[in-house]
Amino acid sequence: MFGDNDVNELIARIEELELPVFTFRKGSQILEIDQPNDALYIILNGEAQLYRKNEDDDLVVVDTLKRGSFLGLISFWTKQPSFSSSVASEDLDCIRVDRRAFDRLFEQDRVFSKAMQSLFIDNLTSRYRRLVNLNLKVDKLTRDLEIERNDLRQAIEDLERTRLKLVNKEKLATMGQLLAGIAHEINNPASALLKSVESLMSQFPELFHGKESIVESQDNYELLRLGMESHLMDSATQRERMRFLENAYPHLKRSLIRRLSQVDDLGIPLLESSIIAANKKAENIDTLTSRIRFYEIGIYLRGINLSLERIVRLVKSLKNYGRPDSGSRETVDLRNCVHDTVTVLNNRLKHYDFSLEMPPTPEVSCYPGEVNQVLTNLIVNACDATEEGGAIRIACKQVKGGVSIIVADEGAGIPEHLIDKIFEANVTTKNSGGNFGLGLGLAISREIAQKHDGKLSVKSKLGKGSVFDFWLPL
Amino acid sequence: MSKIYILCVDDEPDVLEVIVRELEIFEDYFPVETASSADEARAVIRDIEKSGDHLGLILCDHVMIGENGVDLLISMQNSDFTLDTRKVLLTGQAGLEATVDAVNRASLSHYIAKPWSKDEVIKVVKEQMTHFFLRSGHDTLPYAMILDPMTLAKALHDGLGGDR
Amino acid sequence: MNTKRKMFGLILSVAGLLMPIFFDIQGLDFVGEISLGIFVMAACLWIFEPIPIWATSLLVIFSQILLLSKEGPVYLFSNPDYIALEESVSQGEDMESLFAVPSEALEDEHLLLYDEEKRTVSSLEVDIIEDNGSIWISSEELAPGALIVIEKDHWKVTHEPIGFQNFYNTLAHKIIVLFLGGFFLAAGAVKFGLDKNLTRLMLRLFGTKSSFVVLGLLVATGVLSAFMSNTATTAMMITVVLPIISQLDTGDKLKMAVALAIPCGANIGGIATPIGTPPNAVVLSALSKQGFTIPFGDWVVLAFPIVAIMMFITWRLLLIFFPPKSKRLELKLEGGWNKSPKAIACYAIFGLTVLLWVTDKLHGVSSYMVAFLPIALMPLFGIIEKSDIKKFSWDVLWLMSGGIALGISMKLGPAEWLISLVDWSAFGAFGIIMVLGLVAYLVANVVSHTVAATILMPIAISLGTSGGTSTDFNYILACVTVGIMVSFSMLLPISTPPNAIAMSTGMIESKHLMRIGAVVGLIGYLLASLFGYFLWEGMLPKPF
Repeated sequence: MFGDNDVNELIARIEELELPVFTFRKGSQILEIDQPNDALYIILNGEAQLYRKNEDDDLVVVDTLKRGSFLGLISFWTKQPSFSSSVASEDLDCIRVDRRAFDRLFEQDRVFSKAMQSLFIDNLTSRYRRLVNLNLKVDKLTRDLEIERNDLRQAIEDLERTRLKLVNKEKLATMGQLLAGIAHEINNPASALLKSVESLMSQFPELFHGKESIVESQDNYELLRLGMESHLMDSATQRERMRFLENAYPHLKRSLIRRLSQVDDLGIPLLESSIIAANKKAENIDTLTSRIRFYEIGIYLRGINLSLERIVRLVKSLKNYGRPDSGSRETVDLRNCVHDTVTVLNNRLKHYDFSLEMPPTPEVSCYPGEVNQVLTNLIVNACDATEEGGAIRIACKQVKGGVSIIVADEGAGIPEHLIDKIFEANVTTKNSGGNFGLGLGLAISREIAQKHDGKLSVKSKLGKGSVFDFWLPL
Repeated sequence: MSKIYILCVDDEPDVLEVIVRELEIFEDYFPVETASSADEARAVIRDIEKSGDHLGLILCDHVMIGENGVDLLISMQNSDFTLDTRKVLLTGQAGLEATVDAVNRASLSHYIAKPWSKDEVIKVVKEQMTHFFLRSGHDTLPYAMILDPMTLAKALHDGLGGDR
Repeated sequence: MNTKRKMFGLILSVAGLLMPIFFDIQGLDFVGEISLGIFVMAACLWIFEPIPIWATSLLVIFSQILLLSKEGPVYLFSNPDYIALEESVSQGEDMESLFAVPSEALEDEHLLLYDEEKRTVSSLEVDIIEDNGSIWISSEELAPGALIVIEKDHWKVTHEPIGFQNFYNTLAHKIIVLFLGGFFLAAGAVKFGLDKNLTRLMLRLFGTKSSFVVLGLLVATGVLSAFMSNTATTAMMITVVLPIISQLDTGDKLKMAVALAIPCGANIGGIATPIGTPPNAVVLSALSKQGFTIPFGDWVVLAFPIVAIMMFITWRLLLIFFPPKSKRLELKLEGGWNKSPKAIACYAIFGLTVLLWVTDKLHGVSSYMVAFLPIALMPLFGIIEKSDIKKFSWDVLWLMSGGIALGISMKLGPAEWLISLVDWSAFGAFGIIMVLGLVAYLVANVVSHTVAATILMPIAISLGTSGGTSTDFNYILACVTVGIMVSFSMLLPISTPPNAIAMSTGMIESKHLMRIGAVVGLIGYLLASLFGYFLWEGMLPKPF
């Protein structure tokens, strides 16, 4: 304890100095914060704690004072309200020196003033020392906190990434199931329709032809058949044909000319007589109209047939594309995966100059659903990176020890400083995110490649385009 | 003497065919032309201009391979020959931004959302062609049967239509 | 095919215009040939319409100032043969000058003198001194270098040229101003809803029984179209009625009756006043050129009975052809009178003008002068503004001006030449009117009514003035009767704008319009003949 001598000296002279000694029980308040104080307390025995209120108005212990320490030093000296509350933390004896006594003793009693000076210095020194230590402690605490906070942040990011991956996986899995379900539901009626149309196309014309006919009409039969074999005309060709027909048959109305323009060169001679007759009389025009209708019915049938075939093909691809992986590897022809994915993504790919190169390749053991996912990522990335109308090339071929699927675009390319990072999560070169704009696509893709003991690599040149190579071992 | 054309632009031949079939009632009054891209549409417009005819209405798909419909309409708005042409956008998926662009810069006359009904298309084409006539000052008389009666009658009344 | 028709018209019109240059037409001098060329050109352009009909009218005026006017290039650059006087010989003590001239320059001791600018030819009496084969003349007014015409039958000599201003005057002919007055009234009426409110009032009188609603529509449309253009009246009626009749059952023929009552009412109602429809004005302008004026009030008195009877007949026909299923039809018309000071001023001017027009015979102020009342006052009160004027059918005025102008050149020979192609003596005096009326009726179904009247008026007048027909042929009666018959031409959708507007509603098909149009048209034609024969002849002035 510091200032022991000084305190002892004071104790010895208490009577002589006519200073009162107070005893505070444990827990009793000595000074109260913000209240005026006109005395100086010198602790003889026991311990007092100083309290201040924090921002939340809770009392916080700011210091602990023992024998030889002053209580109320600042308020006594500055004559301002007490800076903190002081409470006896154990039974406490102290001398109370009020201002009059202090002034009197300080001037008259050399011993008292000396002891007081010594005690002042001791008090201030010890307080300063505590302050320095406190600052050091704060600094260490801050640093510890910073480290902890970084760790936490990293942990949260990891968690979020994992969550996104899980969500994404879950989403894809759900979507896959959904797709497969919808595809199945569409497939049944579409197939039935396709069967019906095929029957219709083979049986309907027979009504006008041969021994099954109800109305024998060879020309109309031919028109029907020609219509079914017709091809969709592009608008420039149709314009050309309309102009030609308008000159050849100026007596026909334009609406009739348009309908006639669908009929190909083999069909026109069959209609010729009706066309020429369709000059004035309304019924002759009606005859021509209904004869053109034979051809049109053929076109409609063919159109229905083609559309249905397209639907059935698409549905099949959707089913393959979206099937949930059974959990075990399958041995598949990767070209089917490419084909299915391309069919599903046709809506995007049709805006590009798209080419597919797929020589026969050996079958590969893999999880097809995951391979589809990788392909989807690569193709969508290629589309995002390339302006509409640009070239996108997809190839699937056998290479050393495995099969490579190559997705090449002529798009923006990847900046050199990013090329090593694009397979990391959260790195994206796209400005605005689409469905896969989380920056997870390539990270997941590489994970899938690694899971298959395969490789996913990229070569890219800024402004020239990128080539992704997805290699799977045999 | 000159003819007034309707031009349909869509990059999908099936859709184009459907539109043309739905516009059949107009064909004998206003020849319907088709184009499958913005460039082809421009070529058709040039042909129409060269033969001294007029383009009354363009029905244009929004999302097309190559140049999109809004850009085509904007370029038409900047040409004297197609300034009065009524411009109708067909669309399944135009965002707000593209629509605002079309309205502001192409003076879009109307907007048909896919899928449309035949009645809607006919009604819109009738109204828009009527507006074209009223705006360009072509004689409405030979075409009254194919134009929109209310729009036409209101314009003839407010505009003090004269006898002949 | 339409294009071909127009192409045909265009070629024909050019050929018509060039015809007098390449062919000499018997019975027509050069001026007559040019006039005929202009007529053929105009008729072809008007009938086949490769260009708008009003553009044709302007082309007529342009052709006339170019080819026919005194100041035009044709007149300027075409010269008869002439010589400059040479060699004066002083003779005798009074030193009178003698000039040698070829004999063909002289006629009855007169010499044709050409002015220095070679524009006008004047006749000069001269003394003739014959001397062994050569002819000498003397005159104090002749000097060496004077120009003497020797081609005496050149058209420039025989024809008294017309100044170009005469052709321009047709653009502000009093009939045109009368019509312009009508335009101002109509514009004010439309602007302040007078037409709609009058319709509301009139329809209220006819109740809600569907047959009477049809009559109400006929009458209301008719009354308004007597003062406004038939087109604008029909258009207004359609905007008012279409939303209501669209809600009727599809099978209810009341729809058709209503959709047809409006154009019929407009076409017939236009007959009632001189400004009701342009053919009336064409008749009046043709007669005014002959010095005859029919006062506004007289026309109304003359035309009102036939209009009223035709309205009634049309009403009954509509109900027979298209019997309504709904017994009642409520035409609830929204609206109320505009009570702003401008609107009231407009109503007042409208009422005053119409009153003064109809009573012109009582107060003696010409309706043509009254017509300027709305023209001057409506802008004065701000009732008609610049933007309103822009909406006027100026084309209709120009169409009529061209017609009036064509009338001028028709009198230079072509009209008489045309009527000489037909032997009219086979028809009686009134038979000619019936034939002309039938031609007018048929032609006006496919061409503009104004054009049909314009083409036929000069012919009717020439028939009367040339004396090629029986003496009791009254061309004034012919003009009025034919002019009224033209208005009954409403067979086809394209016959009149009101028909076309009615067709556009989709409530009726061509066949419905043609059924009612044919019957009403023929009855109208016959009724007009009867009226003409028994009634109008006595009401109109006689040309002889």
